[in-house]
Amino acid sequence: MKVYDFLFVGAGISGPFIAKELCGAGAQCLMVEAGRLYHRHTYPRNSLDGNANLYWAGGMELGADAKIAFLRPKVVGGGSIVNQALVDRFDAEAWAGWQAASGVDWFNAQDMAPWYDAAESEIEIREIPPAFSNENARIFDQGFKALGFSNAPLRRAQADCRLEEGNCCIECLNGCRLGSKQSTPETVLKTALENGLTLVPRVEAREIRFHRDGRVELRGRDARGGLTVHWGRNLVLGAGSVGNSALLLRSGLGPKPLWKRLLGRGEAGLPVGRGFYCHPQFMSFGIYDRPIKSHMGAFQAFKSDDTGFRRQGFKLENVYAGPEGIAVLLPGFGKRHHKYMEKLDHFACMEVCTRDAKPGKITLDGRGEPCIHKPLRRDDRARYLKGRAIITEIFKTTGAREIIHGRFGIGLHLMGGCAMGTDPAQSVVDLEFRLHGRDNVFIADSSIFPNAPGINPSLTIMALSKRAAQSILRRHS
Amino acid sequence: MISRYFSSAQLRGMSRAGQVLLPGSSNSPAFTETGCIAHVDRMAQGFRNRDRAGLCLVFSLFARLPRPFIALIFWILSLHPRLPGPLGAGLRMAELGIKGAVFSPYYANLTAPDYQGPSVHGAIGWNPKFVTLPPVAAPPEPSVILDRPGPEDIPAIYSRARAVESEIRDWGTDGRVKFISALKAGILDRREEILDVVQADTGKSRLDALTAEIFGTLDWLTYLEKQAVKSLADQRVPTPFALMGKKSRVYFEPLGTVLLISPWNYPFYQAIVPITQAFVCGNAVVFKPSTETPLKGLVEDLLTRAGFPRDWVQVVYGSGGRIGDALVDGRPDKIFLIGSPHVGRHIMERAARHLIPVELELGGKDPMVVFDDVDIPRAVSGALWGTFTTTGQSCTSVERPFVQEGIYDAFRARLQQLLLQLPPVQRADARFHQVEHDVLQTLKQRLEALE
Repeated sequence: MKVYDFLFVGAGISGPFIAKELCGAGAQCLMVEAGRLYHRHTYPRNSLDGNANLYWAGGMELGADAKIAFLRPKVVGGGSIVNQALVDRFDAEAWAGWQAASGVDWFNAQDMAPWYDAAESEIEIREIPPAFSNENARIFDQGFKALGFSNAPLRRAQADCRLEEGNCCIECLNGCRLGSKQSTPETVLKTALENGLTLVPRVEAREIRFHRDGRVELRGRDARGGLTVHWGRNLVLGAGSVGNSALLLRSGLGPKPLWKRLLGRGEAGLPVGRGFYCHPQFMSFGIYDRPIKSHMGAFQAFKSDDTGFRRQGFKLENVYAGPEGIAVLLPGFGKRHHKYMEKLDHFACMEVCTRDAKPGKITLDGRGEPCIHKPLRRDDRARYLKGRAIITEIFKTTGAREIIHGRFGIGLHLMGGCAMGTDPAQSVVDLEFRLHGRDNVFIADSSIFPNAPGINPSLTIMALSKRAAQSILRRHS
Repeated sequence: MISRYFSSAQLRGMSRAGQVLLPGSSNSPAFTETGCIAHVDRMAQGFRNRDRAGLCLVFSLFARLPRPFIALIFWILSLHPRLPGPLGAGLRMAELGIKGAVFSPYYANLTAPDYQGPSVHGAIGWNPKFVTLPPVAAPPEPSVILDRPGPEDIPAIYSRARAVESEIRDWGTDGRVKFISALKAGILDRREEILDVVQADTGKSRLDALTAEIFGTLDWLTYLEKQAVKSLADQRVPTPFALMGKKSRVYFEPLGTVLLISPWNYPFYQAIVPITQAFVCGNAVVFKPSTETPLKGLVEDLLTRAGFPRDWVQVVYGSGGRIGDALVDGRPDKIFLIGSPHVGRHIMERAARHLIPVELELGGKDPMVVFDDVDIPRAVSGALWGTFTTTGQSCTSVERPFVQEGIYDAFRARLQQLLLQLPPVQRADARFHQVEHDVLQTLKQRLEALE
C-alpha cells in the first residue's frame, strides 16, 4: 500500500504540466484519469467512436436547461487532445477583471509573463500562414476588412500539420495522428512518465478522504465498476471545472447546506461549484452559390482582434465542424435537412464566442453526478446577438445567399467552480493554489478561474500550472 | 442485429426515427438503407445511463407510431425556442438526444458490412484529405489453429477465450439470452440442413435425429429463454444475527472459460446444449467435438449467423488422445465432459492436478426395473425403444432389464417377438456400424491386453 508524495486527479493539461516538474524533482507521483490512453495510431478514426470514447457522456453533456452542449474531454491528455490548440496570452482587460474579482495581486500581465514564457518553452507554436487560409477564412477576412473591423491570425500549439502537402487538419478534433498537435502526451506528460510518473487510466476519482495522520485517500471507480484506492500525502486536482467541483462536492468539501449553517455546526464550507463560466459559443452558417469547402486545409485561421468587440464582450472566429455536429445545429429534418447537408461544401461558418458575465453553478444530482446550471441570461444573450449581427453582416457583404444560425450553443472552455481568491467565503483556493484551510490539496487548472476572461484558456492554464508547480516545490523542498 | 443496449423493438423505433429524419434523397441514401444502425452499440456505450434509458423509452414509443406521427413529434420538439423553463429544456434534450443518436452513425459514414450504395460523405461533399502516414507495424495477432491443432497450439486458443471473458460477462444474462433466441430461430429455420449433416456423420435414422437432436435442442433453448434470467438473478437471503444491519444476497458469477468435450452419439444436441448452458451463464467456451462426428463447420456457422462474435465459442477439432491433455493443462475454469468412464477418469485425474472442477456425464450399464403390475405390451415397447433408440448409443439407454418373476416369461416372449420384427440396419455403410466396429476393436485390444 504505497503512499505517494503526490496524487493527481486528471491527466489533462494542468496535471501533466505540474507532474513534469514534481517528477523531475524526484517526487513519487501517481495520476488517475477517467479516460482511456491512446497513442498516435490508435485515436478513433471516425466521429462516432471519437464522441463515444473521448468525451464525457459520449459528447452529449447538457446543462440543466439544455441550451448549451458541453464538450468535456475524457481522455489522457484532456482538452489538449480535442481542442483546437489555440494559444493566447491574456490581455490587460482579462487580468484586470481577474484582479477585481479575486483580489490576487499577481494577476497581471507583467507578473505572469515569465510563467507564460515557461509554458511556451514546453510546446511548439506556429501561426497559420495566410497562404494556407481556405475560402472560409478568406470570407472572414474579407468581411472584416469590408466592415472595418480588425482581425489577426491564430497561433496554434502545433509542430507541423503538413499543410503544404494538402493535409486537412479537421481530424485533429479526434486526436492528432501526425504528432503535430502539442497535446500533453506528446510533451510534458511524456517527460513526466519518463521521470517515473505512474499513470492509471480508466479510473474515475469518486471521493477524497483525509486522515488524521496527514494521508489523503483517493477512492476511485475502475472500468469494471470496482473500487480502487490510492494513498498519498498531497493531492493535485486537474480534472477541470466540472470534474474538480463534482469530486470536492462528493467529498463533502462544498458549501454547507442552509440548515447546518443556521445551526452553526462545523466549519464553513467552500463555495465549490459556484462561479461557473463557459464562453458560450454559437456557430452560424452562410450558404453561398460557389463552393467554399470549409473543411479543407487549416480550418481555423483568424480571430477577431477588435477592441470594440472586446468591450462588448464577444469575439468572432472562423471555424468549422464535422458533419454530425453541423447536422444537429441545422433546423428542420427530412428532405429539407438533406437539401442543406448536400450543399455542405457551399457552407461558410463563423462563431461568436461570448464572454459570459453571469456565472452558472455546478451541483450534484442524486447519484453524485455533476449537474451544470448555466442559464443564458439577458446580458449574455445580448452579447451573443451583437456578435451574431456582425456575422450576418459579414455573410451578407461577402455574398451569401442564405444564413442559418445554429440552434444550440456549445461550451468548450469550462471554467470556474474552484475560484482562486483571497477571501475564503468567496473563493476555494488561495494565492498558493491550495484549498483554503488545507495545505495538501492543490488546484491550478481552469477551475480556479475567478471569471470568464474572454480569451482561450489553455495557455493560461499552462502558465498557472507552471507557477503552481514552483509554489509546491518551494514548500516541499 | 443484436444490440446490448436496445431491444429489437427499440431498434425498430430508431430506424423509424431515422426514416423520418433522414429519408434519403436523389443524392443521399436513407438512414435505413445504409444499415448504419449496426454501429449503435459503440455509440451508446459512451452515453450516461439515464440518457440511454431516455432514448430506449423514446424509441420504444416510436416503434409503435406511424411515421407521420413521428414527424409531428419532431415538429413539436422544434418549437423549443418559444417555450419556457423545464418544458423547453425537456424538448431541447429530446431533440438533441434523438437527432444526435440518429445523425452520429449516419454522418460518421458507417454502414452495414455489405452496403454497396452511395456513401453519405460523398453525397454531402465531405472529403477532407489526410496525408498518408507510414504504416504502423501493429503487433501481429497470434494465429490460432482450430482444425487439428497440436498440443502446442492450445494455449493460443485459451488466450483468445480469456480476452473475451469480460465482454461476454458485461452483456448480462438478459443480453446473452438475445443471442440464444437468435440461435434458436436459426436452428428452427435450418433444421433440414442440420439433419443432413448429422445423418451424414452419424448414420442415425432421421426420426431419431429429429426427435432427440432437433426437438431436444429447441426445448432446451426455449427453457433458457424463459428461465435463465430468473435463475441467475441475485437472491436476497437473510443476514445472520451477528451481522445485523447489513444486507445479504447470493449472486452468480461466470467462471471464466469452460472446456466442453462431447461424444459422438448426439453430436448436435451435445454441442448446442452444453455450449449454450455455459454461455448463458457468462462464460467463454472451448468446445471439442468427437473426431467421429465433428459436424464440421456447422456449429460455428449457426453461432456466427446468430450474431455470436468470434472467439466467444471456439470449436476445436482433434482427437482426445492428441490434444486432450493440452486442453486440460490450458487451465479452463471448468471442464464438462460427456463420454466414457475411461476417458472421464483420465480427464478428472489430470484436472485434479490443476484443481479444475470437473463435471462428467458418463455411460453406464443402466438397468430397467419392470414390476408385475405393468401393462406388458406397453412396457415391452418402452424397453425396446429405451434399448435401441439411436442404435443403443445413449448414455441412459436400457442395458439391463430386471423383470419380476411373475411376468418374466410373458415379458420375454413379447420382447423376442417384437425384436425379430425390428427392421435391419438401414444402410450397409451406416456410420454407427463403423463406430461400433471401432469400439469393438478397442474392446478386443483391451481384452487381449488383459490376457
